[in-house]
Amino acid sequence: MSWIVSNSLTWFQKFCINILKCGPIPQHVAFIMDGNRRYAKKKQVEKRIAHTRGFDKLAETLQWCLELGIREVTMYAFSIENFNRSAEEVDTLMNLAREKYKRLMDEKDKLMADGVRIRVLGNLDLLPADIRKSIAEAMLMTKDNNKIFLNVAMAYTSRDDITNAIKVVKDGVHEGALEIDDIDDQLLNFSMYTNHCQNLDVLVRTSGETRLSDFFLWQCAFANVYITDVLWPEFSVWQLLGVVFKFQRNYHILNKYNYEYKTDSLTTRKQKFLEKLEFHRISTLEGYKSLCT
Amino acid sequence: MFLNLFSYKTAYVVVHTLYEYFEFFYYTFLYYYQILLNIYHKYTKIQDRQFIAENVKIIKRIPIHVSIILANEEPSYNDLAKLVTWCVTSGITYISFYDHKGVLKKSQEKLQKAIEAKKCSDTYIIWYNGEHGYKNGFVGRKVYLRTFSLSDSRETIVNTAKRLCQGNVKEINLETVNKNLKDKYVFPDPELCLYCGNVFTLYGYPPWEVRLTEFIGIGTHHNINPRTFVRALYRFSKTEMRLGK
Repeated sequence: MSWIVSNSLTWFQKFCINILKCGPIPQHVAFIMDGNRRYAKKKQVEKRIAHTRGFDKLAETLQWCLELGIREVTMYAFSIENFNRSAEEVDTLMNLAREKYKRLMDEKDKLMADGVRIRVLGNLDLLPADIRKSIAEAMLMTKDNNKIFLNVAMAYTSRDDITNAIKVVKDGVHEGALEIDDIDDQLLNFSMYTNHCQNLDVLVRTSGETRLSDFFLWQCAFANVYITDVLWPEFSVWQLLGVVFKFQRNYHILNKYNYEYKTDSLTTRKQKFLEKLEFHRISTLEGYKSLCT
Repeated sequence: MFLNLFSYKTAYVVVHTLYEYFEFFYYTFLYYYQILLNIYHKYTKIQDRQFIAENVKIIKRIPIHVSIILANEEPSYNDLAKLVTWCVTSGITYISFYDHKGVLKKSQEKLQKAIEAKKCSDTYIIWYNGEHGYKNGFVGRKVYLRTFSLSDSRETIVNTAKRLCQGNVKEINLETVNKNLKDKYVFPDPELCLYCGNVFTLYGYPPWEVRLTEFIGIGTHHNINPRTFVRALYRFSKTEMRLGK
């Protein structure tokens, strides 16, 4: 199945979406796609099939989000901890990723026409070189698109994200681009993998776990966390509508708080540092892309 | 088109209003249910502590550090003190209170007094105040308490970043950050967070610590019933940790 799927909603579902669209809609929703393996056990299918169905659900969910007017979607696809799974399963997941990123390049025209920007968040160095190459290709190709944002967290953990931000800032201090007093939460926020992402509004976790499992710990400071008991491959549009409805119910409570960070309010020194960081990140991606595999 | 939009808007208002009524009745019911439960407890003459001690025997896994998120509620010192005694009875060693507004942190003395009035004499309570506050010579159980607010959240990481940038740490990795972040911090990561209120959000809770924390809602802490507390412990102990495997 491909990344951009056609709409499969019934008229009644569309009707409900139109009703919800009269109220506030979250701008950035993140999903912890949990429960693929439990699904395999439950349905007695191979893990590989469950993971593929999980991916199909990703594409479908993305489509529903667009229909609802949610512009930014983040999917927690693979955590650094997941490398501890059996070699066989990691291989299956990597093969799936390989196939899907290739598919992404085949659907280039559609992505560009819809204005989708793909960002892969995480420590890309931990991934196999050929996957890294396709990721870099996809990210560089879509880097000027600004209508829809799809973030895929791969080889990601939040502690690694925070550690990396501190590392980046430390390098800045050592090179003389930053002073110690420049370090604040704003600067750290813009040094993370998620530096271009909007404030997170809603975090959805499937399969009933009440943990964050090292995902977006920094980012979800005031996000509405939503736990649902369904397994990820069984996630349906009704659950998503429920999430948006709950968000609307809690909107007046949550809207009071939130960290408001804006790049234009930063000092010129910090802005220069962040520009340099951006340049560095793009050239790293170009390095990955030009790698022969 | 215009008519369509009008009908959608009407439907939106209708749906939300209906839900509002539903919520109102539900919470009123809960409120009275809580009161009835408390009365029942009084008449059965079972002491809260005894009730908890008996239940804890069956629970397989008890957290070491429990954190309570006050959310938007005003602190009720008496109820919080009650919670502390229940935690102590269940064998929890570290208890922390997070109030993002900072009300509780400012009025920590009131909480200290309320706890002092309730605690049993065989436990020694140590309040965290930024330094190691060990007192030697006390035989018996030690329990560690702490209150914190939004200003202890991202700011702590910023300070760690500053320290690491100034010092001569060669390589920054997860362990060095972790070690520096918890330099003066005697508390382990919380395993269980009990949040008040009906909205599940972290209210800016310190991010580094909650990697594997279980979040369980307890409704409100005002007039909290030991059953609510025990139910949360049951839910916590049933979950199995898989650590990404």
